[in-house]
Amino acid sequence: MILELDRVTRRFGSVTAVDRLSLAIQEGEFVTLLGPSGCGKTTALRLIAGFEVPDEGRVLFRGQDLARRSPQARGFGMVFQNYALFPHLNVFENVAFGLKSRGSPRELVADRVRASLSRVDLEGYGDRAVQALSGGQQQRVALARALAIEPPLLLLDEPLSNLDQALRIQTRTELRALVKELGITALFVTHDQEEAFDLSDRIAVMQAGRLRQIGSPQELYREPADRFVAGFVGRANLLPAQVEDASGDGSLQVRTAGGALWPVSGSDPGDTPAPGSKGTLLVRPEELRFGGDGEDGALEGVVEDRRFRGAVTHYRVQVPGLVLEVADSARGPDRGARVRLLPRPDARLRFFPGEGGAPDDGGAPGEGGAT
Amino acid sequence: MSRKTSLWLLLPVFGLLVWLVLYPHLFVLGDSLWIDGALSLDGYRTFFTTRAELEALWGSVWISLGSVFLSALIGIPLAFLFTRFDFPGRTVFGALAALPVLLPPLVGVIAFLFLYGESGIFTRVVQAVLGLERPPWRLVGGWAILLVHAYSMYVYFYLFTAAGLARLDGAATEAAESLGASRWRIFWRVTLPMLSPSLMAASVLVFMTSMASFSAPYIFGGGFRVLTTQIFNSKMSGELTMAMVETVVLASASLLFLWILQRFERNREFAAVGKGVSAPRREIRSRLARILVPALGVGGVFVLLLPHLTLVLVSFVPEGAWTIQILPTRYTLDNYRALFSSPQLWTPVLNSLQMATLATAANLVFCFVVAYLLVRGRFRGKGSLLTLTMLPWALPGTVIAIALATTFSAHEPWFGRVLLVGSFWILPLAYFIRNIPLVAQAAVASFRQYDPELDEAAHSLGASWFTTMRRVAAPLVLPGLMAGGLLAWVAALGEFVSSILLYTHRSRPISIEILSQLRAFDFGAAAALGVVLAALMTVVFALGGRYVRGGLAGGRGVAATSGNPPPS
Repeated sequence: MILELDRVTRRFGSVTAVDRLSLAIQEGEFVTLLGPSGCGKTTALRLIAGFEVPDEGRVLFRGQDLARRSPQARGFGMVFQNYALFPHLNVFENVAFGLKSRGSPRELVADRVRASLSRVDLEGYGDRAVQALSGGQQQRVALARALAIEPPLLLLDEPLSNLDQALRIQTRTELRALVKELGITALFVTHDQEEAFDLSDRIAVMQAGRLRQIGSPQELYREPADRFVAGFVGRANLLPAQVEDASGDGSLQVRTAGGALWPVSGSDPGDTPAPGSKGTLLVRPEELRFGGDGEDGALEGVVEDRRFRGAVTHYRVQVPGLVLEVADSARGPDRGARVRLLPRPDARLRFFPGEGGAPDDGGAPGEGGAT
Repeated sequence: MSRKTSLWLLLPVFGLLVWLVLYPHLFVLGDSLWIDGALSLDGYRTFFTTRAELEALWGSVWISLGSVFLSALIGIPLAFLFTRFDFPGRTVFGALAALPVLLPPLVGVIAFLFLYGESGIFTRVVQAVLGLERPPWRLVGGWAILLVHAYSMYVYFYLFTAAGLARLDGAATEAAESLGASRWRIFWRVTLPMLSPSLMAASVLVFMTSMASFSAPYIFGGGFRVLTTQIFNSKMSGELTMAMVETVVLASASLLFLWILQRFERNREFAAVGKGVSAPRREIRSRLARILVPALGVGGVFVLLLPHLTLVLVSFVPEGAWTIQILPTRYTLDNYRALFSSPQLWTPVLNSLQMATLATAANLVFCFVVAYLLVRGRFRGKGSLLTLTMLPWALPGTVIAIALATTFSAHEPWFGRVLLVGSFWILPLAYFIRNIPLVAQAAVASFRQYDPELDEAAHSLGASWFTTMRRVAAPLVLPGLMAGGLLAWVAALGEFVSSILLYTHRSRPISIEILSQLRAFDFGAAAALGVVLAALMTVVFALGGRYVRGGLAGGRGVAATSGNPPPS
């Protein structure tokens, strides 16, 4: 275990930015803190870097408490959102800054800087002024600067958010490849779910200072722990629903808004909600299909709009009181067609007990997704 | 703006600048070379062979360099103290430390006199404590001037450093920390280099203000010579050619040093980009520092403001009630009562209000047009328009006054000369000219922030030219322009340097009356006038503060870019 957070809390006045956050990161892992803005993810990163001191709880590095260790002594490399390059120093001097601060001998500094710059494809840029570089190049200088000190842990605070879309996608592929090649443990902060999916071995979803769930991208998508994670990670239809029938093995029959009775499998057998309890049903767009006329248990609606996206086509279907998103092939119904929606046979619908019918903090159906 | 409109606005603006700014100075240059109806370098030959004149030149230069050094020594640590550490009273004392920037230098100088002068309160305390027969020092000569300068000009370093620190990207410091740099190394290698533009700007400002400084050398100089007082003496004793030569030398020296200093200034902005978190204020951890830091800050500010407190105290002392005692013995409202009832004291206040308002109104209109031309106009020769606009900034008030006094002393319309000397209009004219750069800079800054696309957006939404001006341009440009106007008005209200060379008895401003009360040893009346002046300025700033702050907050701010040396 290279890094461990043990019930770490940080308050700013009356706001609890990070609330009893516990987290453990393995050596060599790429972990992302994902959450909406203001969820405390950057504060968590700054607590690890040492720029903030926890009010409660401990930050452990290889089992040692970091409480009394200054950021300087921690030696974690950090890449900042706006890069924080020193404007009065050129590219070489920026990358060399950390090494010189440690008093490395001159030849070693030159070698390491050169190596570090070539890793990010910036050989020969040493003499340039940092202001003369493009955004993408500045970002790479910031990365090279952090890597030059050969940190055991690399902290990245939304480093890609100032790049344009195409460059952002390219850079994150390169970033993951580089981090994996060097075998560095990395902790990345972002609010972009797609970015988190592309980069991470594991993702920690945060909301209002708390950790909601940590797991691989697949786990988060397939088995979200709660309605917030369900709505924040991936596209989701969240329907108000009520349990009709529960069996001993944890499978349920759920009555959705609009009156359809759909099966839900795989909820925790020990904690099966009682019949009659209300909650929210998660159906991913690709788990819905257009059914035939004779099929039972369908939600009836009208296709409001369809958008062609290559591999799939997204349909917005208006059912009474709701709009649902369906992902299907381009051969589906036209705009204005009356359709019947059913879960696919292999669908794994999830039910989250709790009042409040309509999804509140998880975003409206179809939101929070990979648009 | 079309080329044609540009030209129609440009001609009168350019003409006025050439006539009022450039021509008088060329006139002085001509007069310095034109002796007894023939071209001659005799004036300069005399200047550069007379010991006293060279002393004055050297005095001006070293006092200015020394002032930069000492002001930095006070202002920079103070700024760090108040921006980087958190302690009770930080906000209040931090604001108080900037207060002297509002006060006219003459008022600061007499306040200093009451406290540290030969018969000042502090001097007498030291004398009494040590049991000396004579005052322990006489506040006279180069060192006295230097001290007064440091005392009043630290504010520039304080404000510029604080502004620089606020703009500084906190992430840069954190990046350095995460790379393992020690605090010491971060300060020297990151913070200071990134602050260098601010420090350079403050240095230029202090240097130019010191070169132009008149009140401090005039009152504390004694036998010590600087160029400004030398010019004044030559002019008063009727050695006109010498006065012209000295004026040319002072102007050239100022311009030369300005040029040198600005070549040093690397034109780089190290401001935060994007979501910059400004450096967090540190809570003080160690117990010793927890006492020491606030004590230094609060104590420092108290010492710096002591002269001004003294001024208020002395303003309540009736005539003759303070002779040999340490502290005055009686306090009454007599001085204020006299001020509002005696025309002798009240007329100058009205004069100053009237003349400052006139000059500022002219500044607002004129500089709005100039800024419009500089930012939006399309014509060749923008550079020379800018130079003409900013020229009065680089020229000491004494130089401008001499130029006006020389040029507008005769009625020769064909040579562009009108008789203004001895009339009411000469002072408002001088104030107007001296404040052109300040107001123009403020207006230019506002126009720069104002994206022309906003006009286009308004037009595309169907707004007429007039509606666009009223609903878009005016709200966006006015705050900055008004901020500049306020500063100009305040500067004109307390103006002394040009006034002393140009005033007539009937239209004498407050500063001149303060001086004559001081000469008559009526310290109370002089102090009361000073307090009224300071109070007027404070009230105006309090009322107009919204504008000033709005104007300053937008972009890089008026104070940070313009830096008009106040009349000194």
